[in-house]
Amino acid sequence: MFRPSVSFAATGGKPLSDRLRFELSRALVMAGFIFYIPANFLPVMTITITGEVEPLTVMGGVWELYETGLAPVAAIVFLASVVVPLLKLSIMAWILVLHGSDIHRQRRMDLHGFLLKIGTWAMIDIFLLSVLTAVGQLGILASVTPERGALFYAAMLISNVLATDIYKPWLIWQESEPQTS
Amino acid sequence: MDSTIGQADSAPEIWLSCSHCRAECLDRDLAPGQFLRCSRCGNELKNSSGEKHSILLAWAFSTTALILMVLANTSPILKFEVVGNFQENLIITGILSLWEQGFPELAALVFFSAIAAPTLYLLCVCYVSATFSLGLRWRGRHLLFSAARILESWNLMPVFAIACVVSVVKLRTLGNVTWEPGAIWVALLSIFTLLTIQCFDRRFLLLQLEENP
Repeated sequence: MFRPSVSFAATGGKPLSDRLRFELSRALVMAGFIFYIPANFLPVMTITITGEVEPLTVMGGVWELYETGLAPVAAIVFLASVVVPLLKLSIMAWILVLHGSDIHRQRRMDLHGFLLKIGTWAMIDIFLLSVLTAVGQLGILASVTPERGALFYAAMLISNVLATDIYKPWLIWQESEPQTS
Repeated sequence: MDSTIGQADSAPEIWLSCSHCRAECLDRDLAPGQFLRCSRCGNELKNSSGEKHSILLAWAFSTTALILMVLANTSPILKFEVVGNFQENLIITGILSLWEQGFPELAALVFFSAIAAPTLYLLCVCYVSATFSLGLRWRGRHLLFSAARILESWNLMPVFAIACVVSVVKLRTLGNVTWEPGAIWVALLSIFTLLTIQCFDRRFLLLQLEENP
C-alpha cells in the first residue's frame, strides 16, 4: 500500500519497525525531560531598555509578575510555559510506560491525538523570540538578545514533537506478545 | 464450514484496515454524502461526497495563499519605536538577527517553520490539486503528495500570527508599537492556510493515486 513513513530519512527510505518506534520515542521523551530543566532556569533572552539590562528566565519572569501584583497574569504564564510542556512530556511518558498493556487504551489514543494536535503550538515562544529580536535592535535604547536557555527550550520542544510523531496510535492496540512485522 | 456466519447469501465481506489505529472495519456501500468511520478511533476510512469540489477549492485556496505568502514576506509587520528611533521587521529580519546573535540553530528552525515549510506545503498542494482538477497525469504527484502530508504539521503560519500578537502585548510596556500592512497579509495567509488544510482531502487523493498511478 502507498503509505510512506514520516520518519523516512532516518532509515534511508525503509519504514521504522514498531520496536524501533517505541524505543526512539522513549529516548526522545527522556531527552525532553533533561532539556526541560535548563530551558526553565537558564535565561531565555535579555531585554535592555535605556541601559537597564534584564535577563529573563521563564521562572524568573513568573516570579517577577507575581511580585508586582499581577498574580493572574503570572498564573497564565506559569501554566503556558512551565506546566504545559511538563504535562505534555508526562502524558507521553505515561503512554509509553503503558505500552504493551491493555489498560486505558482508548484514553491513551485520545490523549496521543490531542498531543499531536497541540504539539507544534509550542513553537509560539520561539517565534516570539524571533519577532522580539527583530524589532529590538535599537542599540542602547532598546535591545533584545536571545540567550542559551532558548536553545534548550527549542531542543525540548522538538524532542517532544518528534516523540509524539514517531509513536503511532496502532502501537497502543498491539497485543502484548511482540508480533514480528 | 461457515457455520458461524449467518448471512451466507450476502456479498463477500471486505475488511478495511484503519490507517490510524489499524483496526479492522467492515466495508459497506455508502449513499452519497455518507462517511465510513473507524469504529475504534473515528478516523474517516472512506467517503462518497463531492471530493472534486473540495479539490478545486484546495487549488484556489493554495494559490491565494501563495500570493499572500509573497506579500507577507515583503512588507513589514510591526514597527517598534523608542524616543524617535524605530525599527520595522519582516519575517526574515527575525531570522537574520537570530543568526547574527550567534544562534544559527534557532534561525534555521524559524526559517524552516515560518518560511520554508509553509511555502513548500502550499506549492505541493497547489501542484497536486491542480493536476487532479485538470485531469493531468504529470510526474511527481506521489512524491509531492507525501511531502504535503509530512509538511502539513510543520506549517506554522497561524502560530506565527499569534506570536506577533503576543509580541505586541509584550512590547507595549517598552515603547510604541504599531501594526504595519504586513500584519494583514500574515493574518490572511494564516486563514487561507487553514482553509487549504481543510479542503485538501487526503483520503480521496490517496484512493485516486492507488487507482491510477
